[in-house]
Amino acid sequence: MQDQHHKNHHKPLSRRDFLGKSTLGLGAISLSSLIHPYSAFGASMGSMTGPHFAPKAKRVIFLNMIGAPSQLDMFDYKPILTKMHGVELPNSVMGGRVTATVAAQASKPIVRPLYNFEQRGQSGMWMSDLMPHMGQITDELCMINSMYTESVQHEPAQMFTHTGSEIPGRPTMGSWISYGLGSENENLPTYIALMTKGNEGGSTRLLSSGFLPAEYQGVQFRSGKDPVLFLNNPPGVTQEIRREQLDYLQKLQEKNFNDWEDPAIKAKMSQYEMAFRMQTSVPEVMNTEGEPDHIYELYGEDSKKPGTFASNCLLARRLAERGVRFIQLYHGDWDHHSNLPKLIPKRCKEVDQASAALIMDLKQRGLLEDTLVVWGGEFGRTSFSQGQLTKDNFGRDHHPDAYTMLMAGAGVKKGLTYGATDDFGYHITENKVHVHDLNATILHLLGLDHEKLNYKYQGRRFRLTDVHGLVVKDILS
Amino acid sequence: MEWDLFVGRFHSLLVHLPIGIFILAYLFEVLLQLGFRSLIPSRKIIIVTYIVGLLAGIVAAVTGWLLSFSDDYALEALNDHKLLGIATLVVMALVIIYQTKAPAHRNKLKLLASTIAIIFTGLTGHFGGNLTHGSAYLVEYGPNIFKSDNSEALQTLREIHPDSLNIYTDIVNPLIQNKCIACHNREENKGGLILEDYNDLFEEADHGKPVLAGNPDMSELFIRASLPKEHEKVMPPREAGFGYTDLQILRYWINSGADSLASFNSNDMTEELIRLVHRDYGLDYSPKPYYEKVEVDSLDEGLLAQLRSANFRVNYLGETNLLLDVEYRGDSIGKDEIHMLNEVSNHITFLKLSDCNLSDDLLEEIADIQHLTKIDVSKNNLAGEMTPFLTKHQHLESANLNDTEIDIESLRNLLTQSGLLRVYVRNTKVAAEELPGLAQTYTEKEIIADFKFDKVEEAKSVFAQKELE
Repeated sequence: MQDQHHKNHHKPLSRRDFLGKSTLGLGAISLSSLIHPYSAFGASMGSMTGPHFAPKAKRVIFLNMIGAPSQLDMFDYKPILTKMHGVELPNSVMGGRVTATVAAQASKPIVRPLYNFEQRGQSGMWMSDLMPHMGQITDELCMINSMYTESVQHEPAQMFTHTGSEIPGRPTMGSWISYGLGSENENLPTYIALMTKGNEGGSTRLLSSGFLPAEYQGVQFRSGKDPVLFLNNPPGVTQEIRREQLDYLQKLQEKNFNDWEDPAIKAKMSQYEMAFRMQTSVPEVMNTEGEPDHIYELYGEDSKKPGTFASNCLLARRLAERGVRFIQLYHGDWDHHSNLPKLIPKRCKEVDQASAALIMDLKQRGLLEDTLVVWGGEFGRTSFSQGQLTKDNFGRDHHPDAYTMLMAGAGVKKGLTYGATDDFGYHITENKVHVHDLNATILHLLGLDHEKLNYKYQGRRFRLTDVHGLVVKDILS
Repeated sequence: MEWDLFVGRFHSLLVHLPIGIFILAYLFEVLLQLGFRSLIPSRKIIIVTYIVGLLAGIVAAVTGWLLSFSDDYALEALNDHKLLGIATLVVMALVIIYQTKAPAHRNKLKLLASTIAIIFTGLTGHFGGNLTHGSAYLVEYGPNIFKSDNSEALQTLREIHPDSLNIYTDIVNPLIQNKCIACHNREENKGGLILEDYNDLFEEADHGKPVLAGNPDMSELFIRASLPKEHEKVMPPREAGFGYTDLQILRYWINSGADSLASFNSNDMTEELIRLVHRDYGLDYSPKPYYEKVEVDSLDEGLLAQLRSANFRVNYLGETNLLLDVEYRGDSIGKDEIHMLNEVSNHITFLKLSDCNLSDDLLEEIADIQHLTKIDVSKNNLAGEMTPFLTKHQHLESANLNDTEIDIESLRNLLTQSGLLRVYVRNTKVAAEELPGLAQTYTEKEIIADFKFDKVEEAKSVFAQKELE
């Protein structure tokens, strides 16, 4: 009796319970939609039920080159730069758009592409000798030479590529996609990030789910014996003990849920269970010992060393095989303001073979049918030298007005070079592709309408593409 | 020789003479009014100049009148120019009379009269120019405020869904209204041709029927609109003609029967037309994959739940696309699971039964999957029954046979299937040496096996190359 009384009169009501249950009519709908964004309008507000239309891709592997690789030395071939090497870049070309870092620099001499360019494959796509392996698979690639972005600084530009906003706080693309499409493998997170050890480039800020529920945030897998921090049981706790703990916790939370009816309790429990399952699934996927020698050969020597970009590429394939939705790789130190001739060959050597191997390994397994691979940095670099141009040294400054991204795989035209820049690679002359457009296109390939995939937060709906973005139909196959 | 047109065409040459002379005389008059007596000692100079201008104007008017018999100009605009031209000459004659007869102190009134005549001259000239160059010519490169917004029509087209676009209503008729109707309406019907509404298109005119359904090359409308710009019979004769895209659309529409309700069908459009319509009107008719064209009824959710509980991953392709993407996730599939699968077989388009002990016997148990476009049976001990099973499915585009026992004979059989685009045969009995030959025979298909890089040498930067030299 006492107990019953307690239940009826002292049932704890949360703010959301109070608002959700006490208001009636239309007011109730709008209020509860403020509180619980994806229950009020069902499918009309961000699907949560899978793709809006038939997708070409089921998953994305984003190879993120943090620091902005020089498109002029790798992809966007400009022979005029060779002819005019050392000549001052004309003001008429710059059109007054110069970054503060080089504004004070008296001379802005043009620098030629550092390596020879060649047209490769049946497509005749241009690529420099810096990328000899990518050069062998140009017929699988779609090269967009007309990318442009908003910010000239690394962090805002990276944030912009990831979230469609320069200011941190919005969900990243991986979170949006996990939220929109859900999981294909309940034993692994839907959104996983791998960073090159010692040259991470990215940070966990770029994996944030922003205002989306935390279960959609990116999980970083590390190399070595502890891929996911704090996942293993503490010393002395066996698998059985852990199970017993979880079962008891489950009971308590069940009771808790009956009292409060707060969906967050269920969400929390499902995360505990996921972590438990990951205790076996993560070591299995991260252990590459079973890979045959010819696969290591394909990805290159580095792939045997855990934590390298090559080894991460191999892991990316293993994660893709297991149905992980969004796999984000980071490789840093592309920011070559000076010393570019010494640095860029090193970076390229680290990523060239592994990137190409990943694409071709996916292809030979049939995974490229429904996997999209995206390759690129946060912006481009200038055609003039930052600092002094000497006999064997120079640097290139940030350049957000024109840069290159590569795509390969599901639903993207093969062997296509899209967009063009002027003779100095300074301005886009044809088929501009904004970061919002690229992001809209990636969502489109996944069967998501970037205008429909939204989430109401603080009274307004948010999208990955903000209020912009046009799907680049020309590159769709 | 048509002497009237021959002489008439000199109109555009002669017409500038009276205009120049009138302006000169007017300039004299203004100078006189401003008090430059030493420059213009007598009003007679002004009057003589006006008279010379009037004579030149009469010559211009006569040639213009001769030119007006040609079919080259839209009647309405032509009439404006003709009437205004005659009015200008009359006004100018009156001005001359007034200049000679009126008392000497009426200088201001004289100037006012001349000003009116000059305005008439200017307007006539402007209308004449519009006739020759089109009304958009003058301000084409000027600031936007002068221009009428004709991108509006195009914009509304962009808002139409490609499937609900009506070629006649949305494209052909607006084109005719824009390019032809000025001369070919019920009042003017030049050449006996009226193009006011749909039925008019099939009425016999002086030079034949404008549209002969199914035969664009016999349709006068298409023939005349597609003639070279310099050709004397090209339509419209003066204004900007039909664009290349518009002509291709017109051709497509007449070819497909010139129906008033016809719409585009990506199956019979040329690649070029698909590209053009996309480029100029933003309409996307690129061919869709098979699985986007099929429509199926919704399924009993109970069946899906049953499959899911039997270790299948089952998803609809999209919110409105009710075809299924199915994957078996267990280690070992059995007859029960196959039978469960058969209950939804009419909905499956992607099927993955990889690494699950699928055998030839079990494969035989699988019912026909009529909409199957992609199958993955990799990592199974399959051999003999695979080819008959796969070739049953005519819409199959991709078959992943990696790590199976398929041999070269079966692969050859499979490749004869026309719709098949990609086959994966890594780690099978198909020897690597066979593949280049197959790739040459079946150029449309991709036969995918193990990939290996060519050996690469470390590249040298241009700086390093220079040092070597």
